[in-house]
Amino acid sequence: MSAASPGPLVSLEKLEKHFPLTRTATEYFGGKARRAIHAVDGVSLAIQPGETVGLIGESGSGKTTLGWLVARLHSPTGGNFTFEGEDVGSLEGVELRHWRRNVQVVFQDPVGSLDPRLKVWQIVGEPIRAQEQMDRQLLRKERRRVREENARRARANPPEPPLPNPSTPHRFTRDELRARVRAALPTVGLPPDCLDQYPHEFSGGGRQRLSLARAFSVHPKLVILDEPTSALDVAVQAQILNRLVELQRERGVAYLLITHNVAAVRYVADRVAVMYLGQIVEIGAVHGVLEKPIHPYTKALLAACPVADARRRRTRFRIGGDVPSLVDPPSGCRFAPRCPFVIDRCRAEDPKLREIPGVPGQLVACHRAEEVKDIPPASLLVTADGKPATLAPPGSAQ
Amino acid sequence: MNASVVTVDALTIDYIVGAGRFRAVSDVSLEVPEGHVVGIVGETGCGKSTLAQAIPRLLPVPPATIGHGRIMFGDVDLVRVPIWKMPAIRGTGISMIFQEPLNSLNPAYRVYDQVAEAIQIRRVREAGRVPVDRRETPPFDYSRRPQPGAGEVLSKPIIPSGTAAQAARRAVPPHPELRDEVLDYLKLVRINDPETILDLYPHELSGGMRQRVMIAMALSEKPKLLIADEPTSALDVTIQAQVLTLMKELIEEVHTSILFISHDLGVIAETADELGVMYAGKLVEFGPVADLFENPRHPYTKALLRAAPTRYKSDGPLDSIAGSVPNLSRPPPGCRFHPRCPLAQPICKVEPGPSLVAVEGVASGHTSACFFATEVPNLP
Amino acid sequence: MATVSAPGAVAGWVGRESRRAGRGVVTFWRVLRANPLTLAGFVLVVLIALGALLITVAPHLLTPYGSNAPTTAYAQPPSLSHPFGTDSGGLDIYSEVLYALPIDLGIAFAIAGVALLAGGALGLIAGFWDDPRTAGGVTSVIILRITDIFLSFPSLILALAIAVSLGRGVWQLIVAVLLTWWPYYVRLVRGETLAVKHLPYVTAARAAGVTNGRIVLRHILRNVLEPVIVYFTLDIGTVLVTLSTIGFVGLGVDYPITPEWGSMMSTYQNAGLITSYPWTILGPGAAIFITVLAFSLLGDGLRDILDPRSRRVLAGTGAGGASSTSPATQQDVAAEERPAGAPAVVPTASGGGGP
Repeated sequence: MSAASPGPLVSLEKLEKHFPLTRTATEYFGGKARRAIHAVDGVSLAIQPGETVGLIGESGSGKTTLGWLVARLHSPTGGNFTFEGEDVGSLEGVELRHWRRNVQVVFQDPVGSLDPRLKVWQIVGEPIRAQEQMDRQLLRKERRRVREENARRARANPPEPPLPNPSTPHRFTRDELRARVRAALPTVGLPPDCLDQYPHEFSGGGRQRLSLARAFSVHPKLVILDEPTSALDVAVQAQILNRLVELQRERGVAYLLITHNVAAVRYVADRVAVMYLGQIVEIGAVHGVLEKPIHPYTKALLAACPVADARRRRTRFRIGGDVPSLVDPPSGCRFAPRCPFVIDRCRAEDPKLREIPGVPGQLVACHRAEEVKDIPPASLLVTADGKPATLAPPGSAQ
Repeated sequence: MNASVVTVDALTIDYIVGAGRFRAVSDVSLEVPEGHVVGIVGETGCGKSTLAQAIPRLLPVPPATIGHGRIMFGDVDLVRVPIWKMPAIRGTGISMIFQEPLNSLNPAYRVYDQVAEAIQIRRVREAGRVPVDRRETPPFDYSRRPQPGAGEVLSKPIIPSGTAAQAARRAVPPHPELRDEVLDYLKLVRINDPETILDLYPHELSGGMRQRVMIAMALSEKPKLLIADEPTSALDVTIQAQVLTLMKELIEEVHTSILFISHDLGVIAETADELGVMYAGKLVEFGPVADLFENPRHPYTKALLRAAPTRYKSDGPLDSIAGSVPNLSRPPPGCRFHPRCPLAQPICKVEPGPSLVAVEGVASGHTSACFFATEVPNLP
Repeated sequence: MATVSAPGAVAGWVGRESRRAGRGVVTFWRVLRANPLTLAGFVLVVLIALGALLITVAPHLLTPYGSNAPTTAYAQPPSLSHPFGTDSGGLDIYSEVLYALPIDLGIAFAIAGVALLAGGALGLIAGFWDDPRTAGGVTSVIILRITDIFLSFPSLILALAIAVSLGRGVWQLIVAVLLTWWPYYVRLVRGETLAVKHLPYVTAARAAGVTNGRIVLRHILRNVLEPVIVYFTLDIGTVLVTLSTIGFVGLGVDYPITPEWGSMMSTYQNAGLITSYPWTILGPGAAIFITVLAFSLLGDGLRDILDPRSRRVLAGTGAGGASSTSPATQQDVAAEERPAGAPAVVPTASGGGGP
């Protein structure tokens, strides 16, 4: 199946999603809004077959929007989106729905993302049924084309041999579908005899397993995991994460893991991208980004993560401020208003994602990356009597 | 040890839903000493929030019933207080901070009105018009303390720029003395620009700011006990760290007693002095936080600590706890953790787990409800 | 079971017994038994339906008198042979009330049913295809504005006006009420559709590649149906009251040629019988009251029966000691655990979370 394609599975270039805010009647009818929410603002990212890219960020960072873009639940408003080398940013209709077998999504909310009125086999079998329907629709199109072509060939002088009629794809009966679902359930750790139960009869972890079974039912190449464990308890979370890693090992599927949970990313991801206000501020191998983060925001995020360590009782977190609004974000570095290392240049000039000498494979969007790269995240925590152990901003406005 | 502010004694709470009956909290005994922060941690459905809401009697009573047990607040048993007298205690002796600050603030009132209301309720109590609590002086007085230099955690709110809506807004009525006190409390929770905040409505604040306002309201009632029910769970990581930092500073300044409920051991580690671990409605372990993290003496606590994912894929699978939380309508016989417990012996299946008993070899005050507490350190 | 290697993966994910709280008829009966008011409504509706059926196919089983067939007893008060008495023309009011039953019910179901189908379809379209600046969005706006125009008239007065202009008769009555009735269903179905449309499982279906038509049929319609059926059941009562009102002001059908409760009351009232023979009004009045009550009670109960999540709770554990209600009820306890609702779990376009 996976032809030895050297290119990436997914390639995003300067992808943008702006949600227009319509205010006035002229803006509404003109279809052009002056103001927009810059949810995803020029993101470039590649996902290789079989790898896991973790996407961390807080709410409002645009990570979910980016995930929905990759799943084509949103259409991009700018930039390029190719899947296995083919442009999918502008796919529509049957082609789009047919393409969806490549990319499946596991949603955050294990309660809401399963229709309460459907039974397990209907829920898990839904993507199979949907793709079967797409196959039939495409077949109808193909048949029509063949018929027209054959009519032309028959009329041609000299007559050409007619094309064979395309064969009908297999149509699942109810029992076949149930059998397929039954076979799929153990792979996510559910008993195969729960076909006729309703989702509310499962615990949170069980429901998330159902979502997994559903996503994997059509053998996708990429699964987008949108906060897959946020609504779960720690113990259950560990079970689901283990299962995810196992499934990837068995199926060779690629993951895009979207979460605010650094621990989940650490365990599942191969590479990590950190998002802030619609942009990627740092991206690299998971060890590098989580052990030696370079961007001040990554450091802040890691320092803020609560760890079961009683010594943290004495520490104070030093990063103030809220995540600013995504409506017409400020120019310059978007983290500048909260950054402890900010200099004038940060406010004026938009930092580009670049590689830092000495840290190969880790891209950072920070003007002072070279200076701040060795500061450990823990230095953003101070003690109560506290000396802020930080880099002093050299003589500029603080 | 200090006198305790609230003592929960063998409390049992049932939910009756349809024809089913669920013991959400069974035989929980707990003490919150004066000036201490007691954390309660546990998974969804372990009864921690039920416990938190039972203390100020905020549980919706038709589904829930308090079976037996006592909740001693000072010398009053809150279980026996008639429900109509409870408001007097709730807003004054016991305050609560909820998880979702947007739902807990009334969207129709400005920040000023909400904090001022809390202050006025406290004044009613101080005027001695409350039947239950007649103590004249509150146990602490922090409103006149010098405000801390809190530059590190200051947060600039996102305020909508000057629009017609803002101009049309009614100004806060000149009520100088009340207004000053409201400002004091907003400054106490490190709100940068309290004069502006006064005039805003909750939806105009960010999540972190709302939670600060909630904390200001709770503290302005000068409670003896503050119950924080997952106060940071709805916040983003960096905002959560800010609010936790604020709470840590306030704990040192204010010396109120706090019952801190969370599902996150990390959050508890940031704030609590003592920690209770709940499982399926029971308190299974209790002790000083540092000691409990270092030497857990209940298999569940140990498993919970180990389940937090802290490793990379290449380091092998994560530890998880086998099985799932039992159904509270039919809890397993014996110790409730035994179906998932690596230490389970035949006795665990028959005998209900022991009540919390002191364990050898750990700090004083560290208790565990396990027959084999001494064997827990040998677990992987 | 081959790949189960995570510890305890299988056990405990679902309720221990897969035996559920019954299905279909059994559940329905259990819920009814546990809720006496719903049971009463159900029994009444069954009796009413039975009565309507019998009076249509075998009237002699219920009454010895024919429709609009005067007896020799004039203006008799209620007695054993004439339970509701007779009117001054000698008609047995009990028989007339019974003969009116299928007509009244038929008219009510016709009105509510057509309103449900037409209004519901329009509401579904207006709710699901409502993206601005698309063909669907324009259709949606047009449907809604027309609905608004109808809603801006007081419905009863509009119905009366239409009834006046159409004249008396069953079909005229149906058309008059129907024209004022459908907009409510558009509103109801559109509102429910909008609510369901943005639920995560609809997005999940979209992500799986399900077509819009299938999403509407399989996910939206099924989840919209429950409140609509409840509303429909309650609405039968409301339609009956409206019919009677129109009949009572003398714009309904022509009694005694066609028996209908409202028109009966109107006729007797116009003839001044209320003061001299007050029982004449009693029969049709009681019939209206009982029928409306029956549908209201049933409608309220249906709300619970139709929701699979509340079924088992309502049905309780039944007589058997072994509880079969486990996870659902556990869910309820869990819901209690978090007063403000679980953490913000609706994965909408969080990036576009807005200003």
